[in-house]
Amino acid sequence: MSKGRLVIVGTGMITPKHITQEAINHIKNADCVFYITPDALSTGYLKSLNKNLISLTDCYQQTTHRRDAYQLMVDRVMQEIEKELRVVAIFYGHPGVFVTPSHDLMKLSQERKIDCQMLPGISAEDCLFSDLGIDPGSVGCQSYEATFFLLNKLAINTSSPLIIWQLGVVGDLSFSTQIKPASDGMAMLQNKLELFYPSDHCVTLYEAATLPGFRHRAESVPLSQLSELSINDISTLYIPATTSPEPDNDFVNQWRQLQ
Amino acid sequence: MSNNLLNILNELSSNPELESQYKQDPDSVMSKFELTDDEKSLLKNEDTQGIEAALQLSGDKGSIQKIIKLT
Repeated sequence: MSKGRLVIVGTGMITPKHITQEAINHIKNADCVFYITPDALSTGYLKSLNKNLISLTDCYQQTTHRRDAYQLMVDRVMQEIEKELRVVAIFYGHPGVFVTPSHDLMKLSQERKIDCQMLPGISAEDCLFSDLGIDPGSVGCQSYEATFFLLNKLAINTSSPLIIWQLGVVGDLSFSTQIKPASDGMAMLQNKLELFYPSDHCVTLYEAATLPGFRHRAESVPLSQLSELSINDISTLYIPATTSPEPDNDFVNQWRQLQ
Repeated sequence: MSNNLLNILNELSSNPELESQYKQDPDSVMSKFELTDDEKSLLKNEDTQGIEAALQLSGDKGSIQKIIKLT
């Protein structure tokens, strides 16, 4: 086994207040820290933890295809691990949620028998549960990326809430490093949702706060007005359940007979 | 780079009591950090992109758009 080590951590949505103590300790003790975070606030904080901080953001400038940019990120991190260094890779939010290179790094490290682990971080979904007062334990929760939702026939369960992610890139099939959402992406999304939900069903556009002291955005409108809303890169859609789950009486009766 | 803007954001992020005060009375908290009128306006308007531009710490300006789409 290589003596190099990889720990993948997340900063949460707001740095430093969301970053975990476990992540901080790994960053402080690393020989080399790669990071890709969206704001100067987090960069300044991470520099205070470890001077050997290397940004991966320029990978986006070196290629036009996102998949190639991710491969560049993986190659850079792996090069340092191969030097038998203790390497930390930092991603925004939860490092394993909507992050391809973190999972690629874990898979490659495991194949090469490199000591590696991914630590949990606070994701946008975690913030949504807190800000909107949603408990996914009550009636479950479905969650899909917006373009994936459009492109696939999914068995949507209207007795459970539905969360649609990344409205800001809905319909982007380019996989380019320059984001190109479809001009009618939100209209397509509204049309598809109206196959499952009534037009007057109240849905909520949600955006987690990304700087301290800032408010989250929670704007509720009838589904029929969804495509009129102003969408940002971090916009998410929350759709409450419209029906109650049908009790499985056959199972309950069988279970009772076994008691 | 604006040290005062960075300072208030760092304090708000690490001091829950101050963040709570800020949410109640932003002007009072901002007055302690010698912010320019433009910086106060950025905070009051919750202008994330404007704040990033004002900080210019990382050289990663504009990266928010890209980073959330790592899929």
